Formats: sequence, C-alpha cells, structure tokens
Amino acid sequence: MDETPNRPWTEPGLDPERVAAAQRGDVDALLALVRAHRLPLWRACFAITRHLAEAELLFQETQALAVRQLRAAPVGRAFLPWLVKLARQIDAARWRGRDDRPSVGYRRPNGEPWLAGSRGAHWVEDEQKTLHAFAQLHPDDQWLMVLRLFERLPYEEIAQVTGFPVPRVMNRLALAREYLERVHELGERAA
Amino acid sequence: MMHLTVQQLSSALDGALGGPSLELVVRHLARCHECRDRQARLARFDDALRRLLAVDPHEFFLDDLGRRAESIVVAVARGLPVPPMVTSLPLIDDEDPYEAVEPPPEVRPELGRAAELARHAGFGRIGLKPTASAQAPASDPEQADRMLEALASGDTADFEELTARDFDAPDAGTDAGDAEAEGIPDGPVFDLPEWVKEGAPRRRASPGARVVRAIPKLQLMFERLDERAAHLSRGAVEEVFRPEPDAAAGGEDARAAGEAAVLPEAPFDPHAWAGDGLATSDLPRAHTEPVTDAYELVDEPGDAPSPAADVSLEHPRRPGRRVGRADAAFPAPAPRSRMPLAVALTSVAALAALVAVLQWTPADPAAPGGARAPRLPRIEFVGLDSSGAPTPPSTTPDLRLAITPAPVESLVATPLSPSGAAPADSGRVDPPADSLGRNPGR
Repeated sequence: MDETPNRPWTEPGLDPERVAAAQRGDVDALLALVRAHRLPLWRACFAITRHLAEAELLFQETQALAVRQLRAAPVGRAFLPWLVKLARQIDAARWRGRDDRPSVGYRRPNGEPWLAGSRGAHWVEDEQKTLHAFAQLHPDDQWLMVLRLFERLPYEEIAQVTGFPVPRVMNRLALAREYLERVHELGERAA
Repeated sequence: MMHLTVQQLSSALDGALGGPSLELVVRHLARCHECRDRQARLARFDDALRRLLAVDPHEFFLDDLGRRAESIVVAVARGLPVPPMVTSLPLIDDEDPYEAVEPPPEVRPELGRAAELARHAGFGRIGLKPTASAQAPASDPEQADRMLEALASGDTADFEELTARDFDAPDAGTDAGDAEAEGIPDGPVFDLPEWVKEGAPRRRASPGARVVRAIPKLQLMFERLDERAAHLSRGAVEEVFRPEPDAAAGGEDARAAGEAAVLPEAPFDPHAWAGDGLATSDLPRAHTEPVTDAYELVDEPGDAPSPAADVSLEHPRRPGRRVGRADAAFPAPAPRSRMPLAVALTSVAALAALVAVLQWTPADPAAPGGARAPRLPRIEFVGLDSSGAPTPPSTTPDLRLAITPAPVESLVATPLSPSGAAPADSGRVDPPADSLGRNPGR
C-alpha cells in the first residue's frame, strides 16, 4: 500500500487517522505521517531557503516543531499544508531582524558549482539573475510560484492551500512573473 | 495593436485559460511576435527556476535526512534529549567564499609533455577557450598516395624520415647529410667539450661502418674475499687467493703496477672446499687479474675464454650456492692504511720538539738565570717626550698608571679651607651651597 497520497496538498488521504493516532501518543503513526510527507516537505524547505544545508536544517526543525505542536494539527484535512506553514514560520522567524538572506550564493542551491549544472556561462548568468529576482519577491508570491511551478498545482488547489481566491492567485502569479522580467531587463541595462 | 497583458500570458503559460479567452490569446500570439517573445521570456524564467529549485534529491540523501529527522521526532515525542541537528554542508553563514568551486584538474603524468602543452593551451578546462587548434594539421593526399606507393614498392629514398633531431633543432636539417656521412647514429646530438676533443682526436668511422658506442668499463680488483659473508672456511678462502708460481714471481711487479695484493699461501684443504674432482690446477687465477666487467655474463664471440668465467664452485654446506666472479660485484672493503696515523704521530712529535727547543734555548745568555729563560719575542713600549723624541723605556714601568683609573681625590673638588680661600693648586671654585646644602648654580 502506498503511503503517499496522490494529491498531498489537498487530499487528506490517511492523514486524519494518523494525526489522531499520533495525538494519542502512537509513535508509529507519527513516523508514518512524517514519512508520507517527506519529499514534498523537503521540496518546500529547499524552495523556501534556496540552500541545501539551510533546507536540511529547516526540514529537521519543522518536523521537531510539528511534533511539539501536534495537538494544533488540523483534523480531517491535509496534513502537508500545515506542515509547510510551520516551515515558513520557522524560516521567517530565523531571519527576522537580520539581513536578508543572500539571494545568490557561491554555489548553486543544490550545492554544485555554478558551471557544473549548466550549459555555459550565459546560462549561469540568466539563472543567477532569475534567482536574484525570485529572492526579491514577497514571501507569499514566492510561495505561490513554488506551488505553481514546482508542485504544478492548478490555480484552484493553490487557492485552497493558501486561502487566497483564484483571481488573486492568478493576478499575483502574473505580477510575480512580470517582476522577474523587469529585474532581468534592469540587469541587462545595467550590464 | 493591443498587446496581451501579463495576466493573459501568465495564465496561458499555466494552462489556466479556456474558452474565448484561450482562443483570443492564441489568435493574438499567432500574429504578434512581440507577445510571443515575451511569453517565451516568461517561460524561460520558469524553466530557470525549475532547474535551480525543483531538483529532487538523491534517494540516499533523502533516506539519511529522513533518519536524522525521525530520530529527532521520536526523541521529542518521548521526551528524550533531542539529538543535535546536523547538515551535510555548511550553512549559508559558514560558507567559504574562497573554496574551490571546481575539483582540481586530473593529473596525468603518463601523458608527459603532451599533456603539459594541452593544459597550457586550455584543453580540458571549463570556461577557457583553447588557444591552440583542435584540428590536426592539414595533410597532402597526393603526398600520402605517393608514400603508400613507395612503401608498396620498397623505394622510400625520396622521403625524409622525421627524426628527433629535426623536431628539436629546426636548423639541424642543414647538416643532416654530413651527419649521415659521418655515421653518427640518429637521435639527439651531444658534443664533447673542447679539452676532450683536443686530447683525443675524434675517430671518424667509414660511412658504411657500424658505430659502436664506447662504454667505459669498470675496473675492479679482487683483494680479499669476505669469507664470513661467503660462508667459506678460512682455508678455502686462502686457497682461492693462493698465487700460482708464475704469479708469485711477478708479484712485486704487480704491486708496483698498482694491482691487487696477494694473500699469503695457505695449505689446501679440498674437503673444506668441497669441490669433488676439483684439482688445484683448475682453480682460477682471477684474484691476480683485474676484472674489467663484473656483470659480464656472455663472452664476445672472438674473445678467448676467460678462466674466471668457468668458475663453478659450490659451497661445502650449501650445495646450491655458487661462489665465483659474481661476488666481484660486492668486493670486500680495502684494508685500512696506516699512513694517516703515521702522519699524525710525526706531526705531534715535530710540534713537541719545537716547543722543547723554544723552551730550552736561552734568550739572553748574559742575563742572570737566563740559561733557562724562554726565548720569546720582546715587546717594548717606547714613549715620546714633549719634543717628539723617543724616550728610553723604563726598566720598571709604572703599570699602575696605565691600568688604574685616576685617583678619586683629583676628581672631587677640594673643600674650602677654614679661611674661605681656595687652595692654590685648585683652578676651579664652586659656588657656595645654600642652607639646605644644595647648589643652586647646578
């Protein structure tokens, strides 16, 4: 039996039973819950932090915080959106009062050298500009783009996960893409 | 012309349009290249973000991370101490900006100079365009056909063979014919220094003669065999070095010529030597002749058979061990000479004699007790008077004046006399001290 639900962002699947068992103190149910959402949670942490090591740390902190606040977990709904919401709160709290996270690191976000995973220097320049523009977006817009581009959720599901209405999701996604285009143009003009 | 809005383009990229909106956008994109370009640009940003951030980790990495997270989850759920959270890479604040972003280039020493040239030319380095051509030099097909025909017919006299000399020295091709005429073997040319060529005139070989490289041979002498290392008895060793009558007769001449010294004769003990059927006359005389090549194993066809080459002697207690000329490669150390000791003793004796002569030779026989006075050079210090004329040295020099400082009385001011007058020999009068004893003038 596959433990991973087909649509973990919107369909609860086995999450309500596992959450209820975990709230009663069933450690096995808790571990099954954690394993079921391991990969989407990792993708979300990686997209939020844009850094491999930071994503590892955020992944562990998120699961630890989820166990501590398990009594506040939603019952009867998908567990993953609540889990990712904790991750976003932890990351926002860590960087609150500090300088912004570097938009472009010394390496690619997955830890490889910039030139290793690309087709050439001009590709690297485009990728770095795009990553810089993405880092300048509002965290909500970043999250919308993550759900749309990486998780490939339709607008309706994005609206269900984030709580925004569908027109707002569509409009903010369009404006986020336009912002990426503007930053790119400004970078080319400055160059 | 009205262009599409970014909302329309974004929704079209996401596949969120349908019905009349989708038809309108498709129709416009079919006519407007600007909107097509803009949509392609937006799609390019989406692809870049997916390449950067939508990369699924390796299964091993995710399993390892999951195990670490589960241990934390179990610890928190059971109220145990939470294990530390670790990461596989340094955090963003701990990154080293000067860390090498690329692995060091692979070293291929077996490629030698070709690899060095290629590396300098930029081959194999990411982001560096090679400065040398990656193409092979152009060849002449007709020349290649002629070469193949010549090889088939066996007549390749018209073709020049590339040699190392041509590669290293471009101007060496001018005297290539001379070199061939002189019979110099092909390859790098090394010239001898002038003093060698002047001392030994160069022997020129005939054009068809085979040039043999002259290798200086090592001159080794058998002086003494280490019987302990050879595991032989003393009698057997002495038998090996026992000179024959004719060699003993010419022993003095051999010593004069600097050849090997010959050990004294010793009685022959055939049982100790263990050579079954070996007669005394079969023993070699290698110990009296210089060995020109200790590693020579094959005789020249025209050479006379060397008696030392036939040595086949077995060790008495080790039948498989052979003792012969092969041991010449490890000759025993030469006996130490006593000449340095004699020279040292002679030097010490001469020095002692010199000291005795100097000690007992009278410096001035007329002086009292001078018969045994040491004869040492006399140093006199001659003073000069006011006119500059040298004064005769004093027989009792006042050494005190020379080595002792001036008396303290001369440096301290003479106190005033009770009458208040300064002494007549004092040229300086200090001001009177104040009531506190201090001298305000200072």
